[in-house]
Amino acid sequence: MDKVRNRSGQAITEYVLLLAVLVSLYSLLLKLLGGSEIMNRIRSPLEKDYQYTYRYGHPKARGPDDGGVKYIPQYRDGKNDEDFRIFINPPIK
Amino acid sequence: MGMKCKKTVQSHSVRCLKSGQCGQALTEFILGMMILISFSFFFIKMAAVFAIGNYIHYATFMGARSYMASHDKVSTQEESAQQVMKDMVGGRWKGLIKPKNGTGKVGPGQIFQDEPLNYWNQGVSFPYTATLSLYPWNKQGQSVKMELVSESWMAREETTEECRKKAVEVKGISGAMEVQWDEC
Repeated sequence: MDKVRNRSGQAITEYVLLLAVLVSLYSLLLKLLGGSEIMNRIRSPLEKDYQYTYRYGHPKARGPDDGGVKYIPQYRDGKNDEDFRIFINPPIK
Repeated sequence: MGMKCKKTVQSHSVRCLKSGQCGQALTEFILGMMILISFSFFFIKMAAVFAIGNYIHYATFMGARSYMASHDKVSTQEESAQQVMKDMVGGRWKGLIKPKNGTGKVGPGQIFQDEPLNYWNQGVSFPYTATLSLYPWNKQGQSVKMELVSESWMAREETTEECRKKAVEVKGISGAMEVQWDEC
């Protein structure tokens, strides 16, 4: 233990200050990442691809609410020829 | 006489008291674990959402199956499907998923609405939201928000009411000709 009166508590003060700086930098980094392309790349497979796969069975398939029907084999409207789909067709890009 | 080597062993607490670094390792461990655990729980939660999603697919299928079975009226078919959804999903996993409209929607499917007689395009849809946080102090806009919809379109048997109505219509068209019907 530090017996010198003037220096007691110096280590913990420095530790807290250093921690504050590190937390601020980490928060800033996360804030910058929040709106960046990297974050969108992390989110996209869960928020878009998985959403369509879960609903229609394929990441590229779309329903009438998603800007027109695409890659849904049961759908027939005679307007487009993009309804046909086998499990591996079309490939995911 | 050989010299005896005397080795003194100081306990960890004595050493840390002398150095004035008591608890530093523990503090760093806690801070590190906070980040590690939050990332681990992101994947655990994601796995839970996938598993629940799979179950909800099954629940909507069971709901659609119940909706398909014939009853006296369409409203009874709808109630039957809603009841299945309520029993299987209602009120479960509140911390992981948020249903958008109670126990889902029962009725015609969105894809084949243009079909004139779409008894076969009817079923159950269940929209819900699952939110995943990347770190503990995640703000609302920074989390991964999954807007999921589980759909099951099977078919719907004609109700007794619809069957009788159709029998009357056909009898009217056929005039004197007798039409043989299975019992409605």
